[in-house]
Amino acid sequence: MTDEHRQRDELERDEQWFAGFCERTAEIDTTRIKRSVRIAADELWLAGHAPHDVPAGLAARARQAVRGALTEELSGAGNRGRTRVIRAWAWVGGGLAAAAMIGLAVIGAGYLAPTADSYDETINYALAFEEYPDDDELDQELSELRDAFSELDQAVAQGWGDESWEEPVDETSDQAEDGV
Amino acid sequence: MNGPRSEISEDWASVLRRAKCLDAAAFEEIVDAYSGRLYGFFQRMLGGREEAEDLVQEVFIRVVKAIGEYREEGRFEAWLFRIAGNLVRDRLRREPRESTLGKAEQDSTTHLESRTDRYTGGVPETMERREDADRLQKCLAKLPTVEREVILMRHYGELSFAEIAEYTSAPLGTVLARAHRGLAKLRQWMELTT
Repeated sequence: MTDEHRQRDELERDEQWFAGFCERTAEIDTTRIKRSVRIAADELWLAGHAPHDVPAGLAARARQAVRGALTEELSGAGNRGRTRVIRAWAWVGGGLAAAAMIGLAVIGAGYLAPTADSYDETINYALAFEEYPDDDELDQELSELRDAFSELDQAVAQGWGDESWEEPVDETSDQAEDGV
Repeated sequence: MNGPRSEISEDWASVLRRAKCLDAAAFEEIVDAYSGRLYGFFQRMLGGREEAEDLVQEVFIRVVKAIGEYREEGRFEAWLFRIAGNLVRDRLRREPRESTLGKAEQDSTTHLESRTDRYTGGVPETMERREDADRLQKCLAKLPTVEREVILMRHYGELSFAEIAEYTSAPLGTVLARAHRGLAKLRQWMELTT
């Protein structure tokens, strides 16, 4: 037996020994990984396709991405979520997206600019997923977001509150009285 | 679904075709097939459990972004583990070795305990296996990175020596010698600590 053959045999034997000690796979929870991978795949897909090409299944996943991003936005996760929302809505949501994004851009400051109907539609849209498993934490956060929108609705309906609301001055009549 | 070992099955080829069309469900199948092996690879290479999870995720994100560049004449898992190997190299460049060794000792015990409990239902064998796994992790951490890398690429990635030689840009003889030397040292250290 040559040295080379001997070394090959030893190597094979040692590899078998190692395999006996060390299992080839390890348990890992893939939930978070799958979610990230889905979002990455959808974003990449959407980036290369016009909105009218989006099939129903993918549109649903894009909405799921919106839902996740809304959650991140709500918890102050930062610009990544906001960017994702903007991208997904820009492709999938059409005109509705524009109004919704204006609102989301200021969500970090607390309460929002007065386009409440659009926000409500956004949330209804985001909550309308039947095909994904329930996520209690997400639902809770979305519920809080909905409450914030509802509060905004009321604020808009009440003219941003009695204290801050001022009757507009009728400048035309003032000018007329000056008699100029 | 299990990933292919040496030949690409028709099912698997279909998964890869769908993945190339950015079908998210296909990527989930790839995650199912390889996440356990990748996790084992990262855990043994670097030691940290959370770090290993993050790196598994990073591998798959990179796969999504680069799947268009994958050529089917090469083995998918060789491509996948090259990505994994590059991530480890980046990490080792950035982070001093000592800090990951500490994590290795701390994390491997906890992690392998829970793992073996799941496999064996918590029978007394668990303790012995856990000790072996812990000793193995410590011995692996003492090996030079190049030797550890070859051993773990072979074990978890099931890469051929030729594939590892190509990936590491080292002659085939060097790769064989690294594996031979590394495994011999491991055996010796493990026997000494028995």
